Amino acid sequence: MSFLQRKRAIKLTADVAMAFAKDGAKWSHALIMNLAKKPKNKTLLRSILGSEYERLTKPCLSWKMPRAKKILQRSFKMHSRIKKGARRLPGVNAASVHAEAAVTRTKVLKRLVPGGEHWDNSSLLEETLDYVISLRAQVDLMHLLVKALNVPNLK
Amino acid sequence: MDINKKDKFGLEKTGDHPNYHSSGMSADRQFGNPSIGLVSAHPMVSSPCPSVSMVESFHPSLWNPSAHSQNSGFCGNNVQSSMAASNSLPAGNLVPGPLRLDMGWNPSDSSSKGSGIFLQTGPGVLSPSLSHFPTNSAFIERAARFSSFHGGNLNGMVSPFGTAESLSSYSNTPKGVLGAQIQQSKMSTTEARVDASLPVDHGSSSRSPMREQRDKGSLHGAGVLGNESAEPEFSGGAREEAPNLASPAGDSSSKGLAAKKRRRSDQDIEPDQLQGASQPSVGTSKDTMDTDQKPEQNSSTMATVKPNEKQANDSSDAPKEDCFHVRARRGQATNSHSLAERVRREKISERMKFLQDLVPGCNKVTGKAVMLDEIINYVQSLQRQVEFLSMKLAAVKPRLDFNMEGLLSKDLFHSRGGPSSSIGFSPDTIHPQLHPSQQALFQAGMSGIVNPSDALRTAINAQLSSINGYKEPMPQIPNAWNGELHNVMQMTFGANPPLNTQELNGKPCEGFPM
Repeated sequence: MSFLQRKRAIKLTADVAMAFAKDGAKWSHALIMNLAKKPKNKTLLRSILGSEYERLTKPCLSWKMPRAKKILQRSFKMHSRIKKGARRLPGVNAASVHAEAAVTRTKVLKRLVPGGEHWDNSSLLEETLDYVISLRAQVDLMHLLVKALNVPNLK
Repeated sequence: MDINKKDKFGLEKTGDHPNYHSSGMSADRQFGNPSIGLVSAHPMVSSPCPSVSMVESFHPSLWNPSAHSQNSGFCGNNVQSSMAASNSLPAGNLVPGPLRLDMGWNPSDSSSKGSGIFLQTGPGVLSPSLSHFPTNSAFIERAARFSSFHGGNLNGMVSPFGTAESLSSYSNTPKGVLGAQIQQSKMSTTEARVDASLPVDHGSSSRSPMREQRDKGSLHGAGVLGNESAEPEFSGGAREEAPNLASPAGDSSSKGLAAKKRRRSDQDIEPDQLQGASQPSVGTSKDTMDTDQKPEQNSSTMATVKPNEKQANDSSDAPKEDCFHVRARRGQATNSHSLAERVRREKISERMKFLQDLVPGCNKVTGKAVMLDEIINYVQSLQRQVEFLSMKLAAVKPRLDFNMEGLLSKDLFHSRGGPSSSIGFSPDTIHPQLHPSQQALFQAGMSGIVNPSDALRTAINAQLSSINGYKEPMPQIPNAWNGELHNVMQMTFGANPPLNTQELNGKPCEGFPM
């Protein structure tokens, strides 16, 4: 295996292990599903997950917001936006800038957290919290491994 | 090469459990819960303890080997000895350590698979074992403060889970910290109410919703309950934040379970209150509510309050209560929409607070946008670190390591059945690359499986002794490194163009050994 292949395999394994360890979170399921989409990952995933492979790669739509609720939310947002728009002063408003900045950053965060595009804001934050914890643990573990295996530092 | 991955997988799995055990045991000692034997639930349950301790004390220099010496107070002997040993002999004893822990973990695993729904962040437990032990005492103090507050509630909630009795201690601890925080920040009136309702809670805690949630599966249950718990219109009480802390710890399902349980008990309490109390409660409109039970009960109490009236006076009269109704605060509109909005905003701000604790250096930062910025930077830096570390691990040439990792994985394979099928890799990948010397060592290792720690030690010694012979991998690596570093940089730039400058200037990457 080439160096890059190995690195990719290691990263894949680490991600799968992290996601698999945290089975109760939405992001873990989404991560495994994203990884399973690529055909070259399939064999590795299958061997790692073993019996759980089928269960985990089956798309779980329950945590995605149902369409009716999405429509409701969207109409509610439009409604509130209309109301706010009537009150807002013309010109650049500090509050509006602030709100827009928050919206753009939320979009970025949705891209970062696996599966984030489907959740609403509050559950996004919750999953982000969970994901950060798991990521940190993953980093710590890999540090441990590096130390244990005495990987030499390249200058 | 593949053995590296399995090693990581095995270590990661085993790494979770020591903290799980130890935190369970320490929690037991703190709360004096006699019913808690060996922690047997799913490894994830351990997380609330360590995750909160991580929250308290995450330092950039987390990866300080000297911090390992702090382990003594917290973890069991296994981890402690492994960590202490790691200071002196990084390669030698560290690997046997997780093995021992793994063997301790196995019995719990078999019984825990059934109760897999009660999950809390698992991976988080690893880092606390390394450096966060001094903080745990403070954490445990606060948890102990809260233990009486919530002990009955959680014991009742957890008992249906059979082997997962120790979960109550885990539920105690995160809620304990949460409670401590709340006590500092919220008014005590809410707590009085919660105290009154908690004993009733214990009795009326409905186990069936939890069981049915279990049956539906963790994710589905989490989704449904997450929506439901979005509804309960807490104007900010201990009970709502208790599930919220469980969720930051990573268990949305347990949070949902707790929320649902409290909702059920609340609904039981409500008729009593209706008869006894005289104040109508301002229920929020059920725009986003899924269940029908709340509206039925609330409509009876809302008879006098029309949702669309803006009655500041009424809302100021009604005291703030910690229940599923939202009391409109003084001077705020009692419009049903705005109430629901306010609830959602409060939920989000709560979660932001937890994230603030988690992301280092965000205590002074205020405002959603800046906070989100920091979170994004942090997540990106963590992801880049993972990338970088996987590169580093790929640099370990899979020659001698095969023995060690093959032994590790073999041991895992023997000790537990299920998803350790990564072991399947080892025979396939080992053979093509084994040298004769390694093969002999490997076989010796295999036969020494009975005493894996000794076998590992011999394998590692062999590795260390023969490491001199392997020079050829080094020259080819720098070229690959350059290519990969470009990839990492591209990942940085490609993922987030608008925030580029901030990324580069902002958060320092912690623990980067370069």
